[in-house]
Order: sequence, then structure tokens, then C-alpha cells
Amino acid sequence: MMTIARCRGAFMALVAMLLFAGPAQAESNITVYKSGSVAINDTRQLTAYVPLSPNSVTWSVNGIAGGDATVGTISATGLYAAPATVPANPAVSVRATSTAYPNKFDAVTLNITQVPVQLWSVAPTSGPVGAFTLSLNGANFSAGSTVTVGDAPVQVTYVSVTRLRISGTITAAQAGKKLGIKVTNPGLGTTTSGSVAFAVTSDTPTTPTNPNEPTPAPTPTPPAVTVSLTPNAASLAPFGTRQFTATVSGSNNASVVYSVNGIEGGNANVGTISGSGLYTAPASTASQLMVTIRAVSQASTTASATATVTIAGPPAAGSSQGTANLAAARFLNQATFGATPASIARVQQIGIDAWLDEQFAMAETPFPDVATLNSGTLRAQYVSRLTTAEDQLRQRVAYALGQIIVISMNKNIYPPEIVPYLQILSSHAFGNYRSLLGEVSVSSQMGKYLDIANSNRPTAGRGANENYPRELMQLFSIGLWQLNPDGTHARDANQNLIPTYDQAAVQQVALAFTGWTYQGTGTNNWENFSGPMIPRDVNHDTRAKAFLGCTLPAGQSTVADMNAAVDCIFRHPNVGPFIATRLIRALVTSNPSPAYVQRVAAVFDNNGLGTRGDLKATVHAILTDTEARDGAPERLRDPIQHLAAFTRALGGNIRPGNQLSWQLNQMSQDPLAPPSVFGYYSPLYRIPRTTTPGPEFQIYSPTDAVLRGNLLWQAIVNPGSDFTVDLTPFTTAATPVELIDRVDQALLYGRMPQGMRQSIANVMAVQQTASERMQMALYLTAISGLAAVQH
Amino acid sequence: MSTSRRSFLRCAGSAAGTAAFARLAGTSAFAQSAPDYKALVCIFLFGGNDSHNMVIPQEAGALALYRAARRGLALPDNNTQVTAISTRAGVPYAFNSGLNAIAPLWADGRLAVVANVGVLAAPTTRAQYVARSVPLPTNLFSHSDQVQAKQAGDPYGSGAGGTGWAGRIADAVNGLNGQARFPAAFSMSGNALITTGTTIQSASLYPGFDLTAAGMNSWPASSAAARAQALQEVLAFDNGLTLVQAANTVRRDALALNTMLRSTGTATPLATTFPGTNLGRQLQQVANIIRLRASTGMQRQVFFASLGGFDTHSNQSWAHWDLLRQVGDAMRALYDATAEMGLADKVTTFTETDFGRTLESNGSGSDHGWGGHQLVLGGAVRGGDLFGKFPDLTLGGADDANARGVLIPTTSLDQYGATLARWFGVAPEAMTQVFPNIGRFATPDVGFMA
Repeated sequence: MMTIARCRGAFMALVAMLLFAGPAQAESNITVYKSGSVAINDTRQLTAYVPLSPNSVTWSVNGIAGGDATVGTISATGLYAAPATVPANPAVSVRATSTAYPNKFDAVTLNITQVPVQLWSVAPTSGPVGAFTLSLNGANFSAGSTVTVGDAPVQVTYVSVTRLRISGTITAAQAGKKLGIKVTNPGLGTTTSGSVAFAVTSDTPTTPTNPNEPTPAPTPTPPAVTVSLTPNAASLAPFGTRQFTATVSGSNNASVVYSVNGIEGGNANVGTISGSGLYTAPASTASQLMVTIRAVSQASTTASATATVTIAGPPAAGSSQGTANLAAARFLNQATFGATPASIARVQQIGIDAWLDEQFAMAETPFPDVATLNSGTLRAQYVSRLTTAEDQLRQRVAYALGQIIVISMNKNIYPPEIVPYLQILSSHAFGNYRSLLGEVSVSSQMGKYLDIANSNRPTAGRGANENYPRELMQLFSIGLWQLNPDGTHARDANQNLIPTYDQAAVQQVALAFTGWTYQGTGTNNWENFSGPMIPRDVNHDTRAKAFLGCTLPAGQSTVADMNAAVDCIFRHPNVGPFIATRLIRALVTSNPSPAYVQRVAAVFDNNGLGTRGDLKATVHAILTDTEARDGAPERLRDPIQHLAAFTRALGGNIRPGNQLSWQLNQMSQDPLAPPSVFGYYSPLYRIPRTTTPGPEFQIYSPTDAVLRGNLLWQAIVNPGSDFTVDLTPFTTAATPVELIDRVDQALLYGRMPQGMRQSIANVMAVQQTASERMQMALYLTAISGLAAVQH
Repeated sequence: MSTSRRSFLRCAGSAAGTAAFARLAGTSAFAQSAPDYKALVCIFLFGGNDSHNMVIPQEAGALALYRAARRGLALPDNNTQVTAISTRAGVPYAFNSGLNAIAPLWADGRLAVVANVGVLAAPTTRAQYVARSVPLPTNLFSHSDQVQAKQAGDPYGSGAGGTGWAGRIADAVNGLNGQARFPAAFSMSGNALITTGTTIQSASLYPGFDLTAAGMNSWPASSAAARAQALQEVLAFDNGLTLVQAANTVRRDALALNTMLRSTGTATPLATTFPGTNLGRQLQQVANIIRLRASTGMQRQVFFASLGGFDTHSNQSWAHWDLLRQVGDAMRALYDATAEMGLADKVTTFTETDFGRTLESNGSGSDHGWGGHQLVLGGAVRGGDLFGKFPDLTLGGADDANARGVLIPTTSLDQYGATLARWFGVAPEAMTQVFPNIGRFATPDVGFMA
């Protein structure tokens, strides 16, 4: 930490130097996408790329925070809404400014235009030199519209908003040429249509007659080419498709060219049409949209047919039904493996304190007899019981303790080598941390995992095993660095971190822990997991030991030294803030404030009755703290927690016969088999490219995220032998809006953002079946960050 | 100004400075200052490779010791032939004929052997081992502990904060990757400690899995397009919450990664054919990711692949030849693929294993040992030579920890890894961040990399 602190100044100076070396605006490392034109009353979503932490920005228009009715408004999420009339200066500047670094910003220029004038067709499409009168078809014509033909202004008669009549004269010099016709709506925010061609026919020169040539036979008049288009009208949802078929008669050439609103092939705004007539409606429209599809014969460009397509506006998305269940659900997501409809009702009925008392008093769910289990069924049943056990708080706390005090099935591979340890975590979940450490220390399971079993007093060529003493101190109790009561690192006079212990202390504790072996008659028995380890004083080092400021006198027994050593470690002032931080991170938030840690650590240190290490009081303090209840706690669910919370929210669970171990293994959470004593992820892990702690993010790589999402999809569409879920509340929703409401309430407790509701409504509108609509609503919500993160 | 630059560079040498630099590198001209791509590919031989039968001494005295120690395990035998090689100094050795696919690369100067590598807490002699007068690694000869020690790069197995040494290498050089968001560390065979860094995640990528999200296929095409659009949109909503946004970012990265991985399926396939073995498919996936370097902008990546079955306590002869054949064939294909991409000297492939095995036969196999030989392959390798000290194969001899031919390593894992790390771009002053104990050994570089 010191290195960072000392170096930050120099580093930032260099960064600034590099940045200022460029143009003046180079200071901005925010990038806003993107400049362009926006019609009055139209909207445009702007995006700010912010490689800063935090990455929040504020938006302004022409320097006005949030904009106003004259220059347009901008929402907190960057949705710009143009004003109703073109402002005096149509070019407005929209700026995103970092909330953390006010000198970091970027701006784009939006050009406000009138509603764009559109020209779709001219009739007739060709004519001879001389005077002409033409009819123009299009949209958004006005009485002030001006028209040019071949860049020359012509007389205009306004007929309607979609029809103009123009007249003028074509000169002989223009014979045989194609003249572009364009319509302009002049004034502030002027817009000009695209160009439509008018073909001037060639003058037919009078050919001198050669009397020696026979008079040519008159050319037969070709049959008139006609085109028909079916269907001639259609209504579509956004993204909807419709096949159009053009039939050409009067020519052998059946080819046609399709256009949408005069644009060959169409575009994203009006929809696209393929060369074979497959029309795809635009992804979304702000309101109902009508477009004209035209098929023009390639044999005769004057032959065409049209069809009208009506594209529905955005489907109704409704709005949130409110967050009445949020408070109870947030609490339950911290205290259990996921809020269920029933548990929410229970908390609302009796209140948090009574619910906690109920759980503290609830009978412990027993473990199955190890004789009935193999390594595979143990893991499957373990994951299942997390979702089904009634004593949910105990399950959640024992699970958290299991991430602190780790034994892994990658070494202890058989059920008897792991189940008694799980039993210890469960039975001590609301007990005392000293008792927990004591029982774990003499368990044959830990004896095997960290090699304390058969660690004898040193003899020539053999030392006491240091594995368990090291991890007991580093990971299970006090950590590497001395802590302040609020969990922050203590520092010496030179601002350096202060180690809690050194290698000599590890060796001393190792000596204190010598003399333990497996059950049996010998002094160094073979592996036996039928009970705790037993002391054999003959193998115990009886010299005096000193560590962590404690002294163990010479001559103590194996048992007395073990008790004294664990007592000494347990009394270290680090234990309170260390364990408080770990438990808060496991239950409530990845980023507790120091004050929160201190409040909880104080309860760990003294439960109010003078007892140190009372886990029930500690858990109560964690879950009832104002930061848990009224703050903005966030922590990423691990894979098991995400699956558990999802199935429980849907009134289901993970089934005992599940085959999820392999898939969880692929997501880096092989049940009961973390890769090392450090567990599945480091408690120190920070979110990539930030300084924000997020331990669970260490096993949330892109691959992990996809695998997790795929398993959630499986839970919805093919729960099989792995999951149960009750989809009835969703299959019985009467309308898409009601379905969105039920998904929102089940998974996000009314917090689904309005834009997300609309996105889900949009995709539902183009699904073919009711079950697909339901699957999309559930799946997209379940894999969103809003459901992945317990908050 | 020059003061700032100097103090910055001094700080950048530390891990903290490097990490800070990595976060901001994309905003500066430095982001474009590393034109070279390099990759490290670890092939872990799970079970403990009997490397005494992978590299066999042929000089008369050593060969006699080899035969005396190995007895029924000595090669050649009815199943396995040997392929002669010799060092640059002319010392004759032989490869197990299972490695025939890569044996020619020895003569080409691309393939090297590092002799008798293993986990050490400090340089250790037989006398020191017997007297326990130097610190020793914990739980020698235990698969789970030694796999962990080999991947953690730590003689005490778990003492490295839950990180692995290739991950820490990736941490140290990640500044070269600028703002590129593609993973810098990949495991092709599941969750791996070795590729887990302090800031670098180990991204698993199973052969054949291109991160395609379920639920996105639909008919008609417009419905599928609407789903894809909705997925993109949904990931934009975070209610202003930091971790929610971070979780959405991971999933957006996955969408981008999926697009890139799928693009390798439509690009012109590599002409190199990979063997259809599990390891062959893993290394093919490695080659495919390396192919994406232009579109990902990555400059440094580490990869982990593995093959199991090396715990040859019995019936070793044919089984070991067959395992080495899979290793040699797959390594050859990856080398040829890198040559095809013009990257032969930018990609270095190396082996690791739980531990060496006993020289002494237990009848038809060998038991858990300590030091063992490793292979290193690539255009930047000083190939055609043997590095480190080839051990004395006398049972109970100077290099034996007991009397069964449990060889005390003469090159530490730290030195082996640090030599690779130095080539990869880890600065000397940052090396202790990667290998905390490297200072205990005479040299951090045993010379096999250019």
C-alpha cells in the first residue's frame, strides 16, 4: 500500500504530462458517442465511455445541467430529447462530466433539425423537353417547401403534407438527362430530402428519308408492363418480418427493385427489404410508423406497385408495481440462500428481530449418515440442502464460515473426511468462535487437510508441521497485518504495515500443536475419521513456547498446550475486525464502511454480557446494522448462491439428485472442493481495473458468466433432475405487462428500470409463443447484473 | 518533468505501479509502445511424469548407472525405443520414442531440456536434506500438495495468497496489454491455480466452447435478432450501482469474446492439423486464441493445458510411451501452428508436473519422487541443449534424498519459471513479486531462453 501511496503523485504527474502533450482537449479521457442530427421532438441515446472509477457522469446541454425545454433535455442515463422547436442556434453541445473528476469530460454536438422532409416519388417519372407539371409524393411537406429540379428552383404548389405539385420548363440542353428533384423545408434547422430522378426524354431528330430504302415496317407496340405486389398492406411489430411477392406481367423480365419510402433496400429507420422481398421492420419506433414498399420493374422503370406497412409503436411496458417487498427481500437475501414468496411474507408478518430469533432457535437440519453417501452424492446433497433446509440462517452462516475455515475435498476426498467438519461449522454457526476454532483444530478432518495429524515433536531430520499453525493464524483468525478496530490496517511511525507474526511464531505454534494423531491404539495412527484426533504426550514437544505475546510454560500436556495456543490466538485483537470483515463480506456487502466493521467487531469482542466471540450476537449485529438495512450494500452472488436464489425466488430449489457438480466445477466452484485453503476466491480480490473489492468477481470471468447464464436458462426451460421451479405465476400472467411485473417482483422486488422493462417488452412482442415470452422475461432478468448482484 | 518521469519509472517497476499503469495505459501513447506479442503455454502432466524415461543418458558411465537404478524400467524395452540426441557440447542423450514428433526440433535448436527441476525452499544438498538443516517444501511426495506448490510457485503450497506463478507473471506484464479487455490468462482444462493472478483472472475456456450464450437461438431470424438486441440492452441497466455495473461488464465482455471466438471459425483455418486427442484440442484452442491477437489487441497471454495419467505406479512402459506421444504430437502441432502464424519465436511451451518419480522400480512402475526433467519448446528457446545439472543417478548417491532415487532438485521451480518470466518481459526488480524466494538461489536465469 505504501508503494502505491508514495508513487501515486509521481505517476499521476506523468499521466498528466502525457495527456497534456496533445491538443488542449486531450485532458478528457471520457468519450461520448456520438455527434449527429436530431429532429425536433425526437430522442437520441448518447453513450459515455468512462474509463475511471467511479465511472458515473453528469450530463448537461449547452452548460445547463440536464438541459431545458429550449435546447432539449438529457436524462441521467444520457437519453437526449430534442426541443419542440428548433433553437436559435441549432447546434447544441451535450457534455458528460465525471462526477469524481470534474476536469474529465467530453462533449458531442447535436444539430437540431426540423422534422426531416422526405421525397419518395415523382409522377410521371419522365417527360420531354418543354413545360412540365409534376406531382411529388413524400412526407412532412409544408407550405414553405421549396423544390429544385436539376438544381434549378421551380414553381411549387402545396397540396398536402404528403403531396406537392411543381411546374417549370425543361431546356433542350437537358434532353436525355436525368434530373434530380429535391424538396427543402427552409428556415432554422432546415432539412432537405433525398433526390428522386426525373428522366428527360431525347428529342427525336427528323431523319432525312432515303427514297431508295423501303419504308420500315411499323414497330409493334410492346404490351404494357405492369407490376402487382402482394400483400398490399401489412401490420408488423418492431423486428417483425413479412414476405412480399411482386408479379411482373407484360415482360419476360420478372425482376423488380424493392424500396422502402423511396430508399432502395430500406434502412434501419424505415426497415429493410431484401432483393427477394423479405421486409424486416425496424427494431423500434418511437411511435406507430407507416412505410411504403415499392417494387419497380427492371423491364420498365415506370411500372411499379406499392404496399403499405404499418409498424406498431413500442409495446406497452407498464411501470413498476412498487417496492413493497424490497426491504424484507433484501434482508432475506443476506440472511438466507434467497428470498422466497413465503419467507418475505413471514418477515413482513413478524419483523426482522423476531424472524432472527425464530431462526436462532430453529432445530439444526441433520446431516445424512456418511455411510449412505459417496463423494458425488455428498456434493449434490450439500448444494441441495442449502436451498431446501428450513434453518436457512444457520445454513448461510455455516456456508460463510466454510469460506473462512476451509477444508477441501480435493484432498479429503471421502465423505467421512469432510462431513464431520461440515457438522462442526453447522453446530457452531450461532455458537462461540473460540469453541469453533478449538473443535476444528483437533478434528481428524483438519488433521488430514492441513497435516496437524501425526505432527510429532521434532527429532533429528524431522520438524513439527507448520501448515496448520500458519493457516490458522493467516486465514482463520488474525491475518497477516495488524488491524485497527475498524478493520483498516494499523501502521507504524513510518506508516508501514505491521506484521502480526513472524516465522518464529509459526514454529512455536507448531511445537505447541505436536502430539495429535488419529483414533487408534498407537502413537502415530493411520488415517481414521471416526472421531476427533487424540493426544499422545509421548510425541508432544514439552519445551516452553512463546508467540504473539503469550508464553506457554514448559512441561504442559498435548491438550493443555493446544488449548493455551488457541486461546492466545483467539484473544488477539485482530480477530474481531478480521472475522467481522469476512462475515460482512460473505453476508451483506463487499465494501463495508470501517464504521460498520467496527460496530460488528465490537459485538464480536463483547456481546454485551462480557463474552468474546459470540457468533449469534455477531450475526445479529451484521444483519441489523443500519448499513445492511438502510445503506446500499452490494455483493456478487457466487454460482451456488445465484442458482439457489433464482430457484428459491421461483418457489423451487436445487434437487438432491442434481448433477451440477461438474458444471459448478467449470464455474470454479466445485462444491466442497475449493482449489486451496484460500477457498474459491481471495477475500482481497478487487474488481478488474478498479480499486473496489469484489471477492466473488475472481471467479466471474466472461466464461464463468456464460456458463452461469446457461445453467439459469436450463433451470427455466429444462429443470429436469437438477432444479425445480414453479412457473405458474408467469404462465398465468394475462398480459405482457403483467408478466414483466411478476418477473420484476420475483427477482428484483420492483426495481427493474423502466428502460429494461421496455427492452423486455420489445423482445417479448416478437416471440412466437407464450412460453418463449416467459422464458425471455425470466432469463434476461436472471442473467442481468441486477440479479447477479445481491443488493 | 524529467524528475516525474524518473520517479514514475522507478515506481512502475513495483507491482503496484505496474497495476496502476495497466489501468490507465490506454489513455497514453504508451499503449502502442509494445509491438510484440508473446505467449507462455504450460502443459501440466498430472500424476507425476517419470522423466527419467523421457530423457535418458547415453554416455557410457551415466547409462550404466541408469540401467542399474532402473532395472526393469530401463529403456529401450519391448514397447519403447529411444531416439538419440546430443547436447551442443556433444554429450549423448536419448528421448523416449514417444517424443519422436518433436525430437527433430531438438536438432533445429527449438527444443531444450531443463534437468532435474523441482520445488525447493532453498538450495538443498543430500546432507542438508537428511539433517533438515535447510527449509524444505511441505508435503513432498503428496499429489495434491505438490500440484499446488508447482502451480503456486511456493514451496509451502498455499503460502502465495491463492495465486499462481503464471498468473503473477501476467500481473507483472499486464501493462503491455493496455486497455485490451480480452483475458490475459486462460486455462484450457478447468479452474487452474497457476494462471490465477492478483489482478488477473484465470479465464477457463474449454476446447470447443466459444462462449455462446444459451437461449439466443430462435426462429424466425427476426426473433433471434430481437433477443440479441434485448440482451445487449438489458446489460446497460445498473441503477447506478457499482458491482451491478461490473457484473454487466463481465457479461458484455463475454459477448464480445464470443464474437471474436466465432470469427476464428469463419477465418481461413490453420493449415496445421492438430491431433484429435484431448491435449491436441486444448492446444488447438490456444492457437485459435493466439490468432485473435490482432483483433483483441493483447500483447501478453499465458495459457494452461494439461494431460493426466502420469501416476504410473504400474504397467508403466507402454502407458508412459503413449502419454509422451500425446504430449509430443500436440506440442509439435502447436509449434507448427505458431510457425504458420509467423510467431514461432513469440510462443514458448513448457512442461510441468506434480513431481519426478523414483529411479528405482517397484516392479512394473515407479513411485512418487521429487526432481524431474522438463521440456521447453519455441523459437526463442536455446534449443538443442540441456540446461541445469543432470543429476547423479546413483541410488543413494549425492543427489538422492534417500536410497530409492528420489532426486533432490538441482534447479528450483523458481529458477525455471523466472527464466521464462524474464523472456516474457518481467523486470528483474519485479521478479520477487512473481517468485518471492528467487533470491535464495544463485541465479534467477538458468539460460534456456534467448
